Amino acid sequence: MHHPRSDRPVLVGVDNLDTVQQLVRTAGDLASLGSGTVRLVTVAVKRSDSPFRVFNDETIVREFADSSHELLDRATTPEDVAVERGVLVARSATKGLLAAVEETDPAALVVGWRAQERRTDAVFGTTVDALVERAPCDLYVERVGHEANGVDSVLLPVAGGPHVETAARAATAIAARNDARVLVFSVETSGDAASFVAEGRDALADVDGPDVPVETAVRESDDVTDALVTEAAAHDVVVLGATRKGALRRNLAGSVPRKFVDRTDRTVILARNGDVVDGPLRGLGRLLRR
Amino acid sequence: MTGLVFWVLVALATVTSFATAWALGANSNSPPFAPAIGANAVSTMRAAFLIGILAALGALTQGGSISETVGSGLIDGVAFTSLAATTGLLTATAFMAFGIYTGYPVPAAFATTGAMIGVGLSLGGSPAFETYQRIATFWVLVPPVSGGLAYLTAKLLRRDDIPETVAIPVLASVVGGIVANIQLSIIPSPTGAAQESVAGFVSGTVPVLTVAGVDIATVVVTLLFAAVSFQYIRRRTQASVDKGIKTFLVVLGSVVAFSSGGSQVGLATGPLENLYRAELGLPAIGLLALGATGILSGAWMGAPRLLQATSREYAQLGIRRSIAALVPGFVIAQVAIALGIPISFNNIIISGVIGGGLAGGSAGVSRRKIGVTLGFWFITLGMSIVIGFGLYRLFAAVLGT
Repeated sequence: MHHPRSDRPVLVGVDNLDTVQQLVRTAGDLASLGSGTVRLVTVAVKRSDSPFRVFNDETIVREFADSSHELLDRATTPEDVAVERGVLVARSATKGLLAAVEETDPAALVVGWRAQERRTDAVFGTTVDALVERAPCDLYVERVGHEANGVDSVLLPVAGGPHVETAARAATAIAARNDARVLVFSVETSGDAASFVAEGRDALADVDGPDVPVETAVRESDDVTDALVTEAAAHDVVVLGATRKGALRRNLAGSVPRKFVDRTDRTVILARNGDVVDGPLRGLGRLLRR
Repeated sequence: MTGLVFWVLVALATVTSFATAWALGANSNSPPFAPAIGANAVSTMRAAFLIGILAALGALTQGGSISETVGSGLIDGVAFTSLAATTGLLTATAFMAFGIYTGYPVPAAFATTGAMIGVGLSLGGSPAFETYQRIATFWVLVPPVSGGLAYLTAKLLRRDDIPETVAIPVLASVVGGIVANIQLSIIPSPTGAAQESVAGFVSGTVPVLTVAGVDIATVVVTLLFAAVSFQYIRRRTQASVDKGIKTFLVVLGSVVAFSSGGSQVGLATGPLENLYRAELGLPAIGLLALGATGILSGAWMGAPRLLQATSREYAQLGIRRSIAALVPGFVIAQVAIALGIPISFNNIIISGVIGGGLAGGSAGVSRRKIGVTLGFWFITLGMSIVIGFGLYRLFAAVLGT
């Protein structure tokens, strides 16, 4: 997806008082590359068994969404960035955030993800999965609760695939705002590592924004996860694109990024390109889901 | 049918019934105590604990009548076999799961009633039109009556010329009077009925005295309960209006939770009535105990999270409107239990919340959302009949029975 400097805001979906600020900061970094506007949204979820679901949206937002307003008020505005705030009413967080994406056509969507959540009904978890699959814009999933305290170095692991550009964009944004460097990193498994790294470097150079210092590294290892975990320890933030297979969902569920996330205490941001959602069946799928 | 298949079906039906009770306990029991939590009258964990206990007690002592209607009142001429019971439960549970998963309003009472009718017709039974008429009339009356009662209650509480030291005790006396008349299976019936109320028990044991067709003892006991309730809450509100209201919210929440258990358990246990009682020869209380255990564990495990989410909404609704929504919830649930009519507790509360809102001027409801809600109620009812019917045909064909 090409990103000219646009007036499209960076959308942030928040659901938790403790993590609002972390997500707003990342979104602010991203927004500083573009429109400079962050739109903070939270979903007032009215489930099917809530008696309050029959009220109209305006009444719900006005009278029955105190906690949502509190959440939005908690966010302080990052430097040089304008923050808009909005409460949406929906049957689920996923539906609300997808509606917000449709409405605002954002440059990107940033959401949080708690790795420790075991409960299947946790707002993020099932929500993140659904967004990864369906949100038709660049998507950044930040593991919340592990916030870097000052950023000197951003790790950008690459292994090809359509998500490199998206990941490179976030790496640039974060590095630029923190005067940090970016290390493009790949693990040699099939002889392609050097080309992956070159591709990652090109992607960073293509990002429309300030130049940031870029370094590259290739490691030989039989175990990709091990190598990543070891390397990550020397960095503050890790921006992980999905692998060549395309769907990040598969990786969230089992493969390298998921295993990696469980073993590192760094700030981890997973990047998914919005283009992978655009397919011939998307329109049909949207019609069916209405 | 071979013995093995029968026992597999019994096990499957039991597990499904338990799971349904669990889901009912987890999902439909938050309204009673949410206002009390919102007003800081009780903590979330304590409320969840109480809800579990009270709803389970309600299920045990009041669940029988609706369970019987679901199990044998909906279809004439046939008894539900193990396969039929399992099919009905699976159909209803699938509908409820669809509702929980998609967030669409799918009332459990409609799903269960529809599924049992569909399966019963598929079994070759004939429709019990008279029962349908009674149930349909009741369902149609729920929104206006619940909304109307909530409206009146909210109006009473909003009046400036009636101080809260009078209004709250008056409501307490109404609740007390009804408590004297609720049907409980643990009270021995002097007349031999399965369930009896405190007032009925007294009037049945003392020499009969009727004036103009009204049983004096029942009236006296009812008035006595009402007077005691009035006095108790009156003292509390006079000492401190805030404390009195909180006490009333907890008491009201308790009786509503109790009623909710009594009115919901039958949706899970009803389909098993014939299987458990006629075929396995178990007592009615055994089946209700299964449902009550499901509701108890569902409430303990699922309710705290839901309570946390909903208590904020009730706190914003305000104490008056919360009370206004709960009073009709209690009254209608008890009438439904007395008449043996399956209901969805949430439907009553929705109407109550809207009715209470109208008393304050505008309710702020969305016509579109109400339309969607009503539409889903009808779809649930219709589709569960069709799917129950078809699914039983399919299972019967596959199993060769």
